[in-house]
Amino acid sequence: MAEVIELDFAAHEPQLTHEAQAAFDRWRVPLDDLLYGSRKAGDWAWAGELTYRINAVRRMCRKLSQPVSHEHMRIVLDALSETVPTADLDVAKLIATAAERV
Amino acid sequence: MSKHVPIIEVHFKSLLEHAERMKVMFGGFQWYGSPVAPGLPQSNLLNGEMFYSAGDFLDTLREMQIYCIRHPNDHGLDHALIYVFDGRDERPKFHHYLWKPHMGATMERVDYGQAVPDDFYARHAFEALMSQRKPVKVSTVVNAALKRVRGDMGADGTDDAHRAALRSAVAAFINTNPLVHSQRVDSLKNPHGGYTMVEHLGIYDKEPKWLK
Repeated sequence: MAEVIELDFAAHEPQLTHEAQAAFDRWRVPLDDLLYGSRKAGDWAWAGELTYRINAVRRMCRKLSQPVSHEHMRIVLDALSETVPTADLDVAKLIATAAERV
Repeated sequence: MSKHVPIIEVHFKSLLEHAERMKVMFGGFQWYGSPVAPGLPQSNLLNGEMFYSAGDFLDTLREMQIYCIRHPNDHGLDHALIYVFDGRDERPKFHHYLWKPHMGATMERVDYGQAVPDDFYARHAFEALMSQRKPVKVSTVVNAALKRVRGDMGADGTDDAHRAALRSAVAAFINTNPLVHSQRVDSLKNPHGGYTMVEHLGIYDKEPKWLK
């Protein structure tokens, strides 16, 4: 039997206030659709890139005072939204482009 | 973070050396989809990603787990192989794990000890390689394996015959097993103009302290 290693996903998780968590969850909804779409289209490399950008929220929040307030979360998400296309996202079109590339 | 970088098995040793020289830890995920043919689990590489800290590693794996939970029937992922190269301590450490979507917040250590070959000489050569602590000359491996063969067979057969069979078993490992690393060293003192140092990278796979 192979040795099983327990992973503690919570160990490095930043503390978020309730509102900050809700803002994060709302922000990532279109990105999750995009993740699913690009993986469906076979573009796992791009999905990996998007995941890394979603995780940028966690990386930035770790450096802020804990628990991260809604105000701080808003600044983080604003900063990241410049690199991640969330507003007016045409998911269907992006998935079609991804399918073409693959 | 460098993206789309599959970790190729022939590069294990150079990655390990790089980690050792720079005194850093880094690792990689290989995400695999369903095999294109039965019996070839590693035939469908979807993507390779690097990570440079335990936090990055947990973030990436956790996001993949969330994705798999949300799309239980069509997530398209079969398994992930995880490699870690840790050069922060005195000895370089190499770790290798397997993760599947149903494992959730656990992963399995890939156990090289279970990959013992059936062939008599290959088995003894493999066990000799795995009980090393550092690279040694091929002749040292052969002699260590010969002791094991003698322990198994008693006085049967000549030393030379056993040595020849063990040498070809070790040569077969060097040429076929990506975890067996060898290096040619030139030396004028040696009648053949040099010798070959050999090691199994699995000997560096110890406790998962890099996760802390």
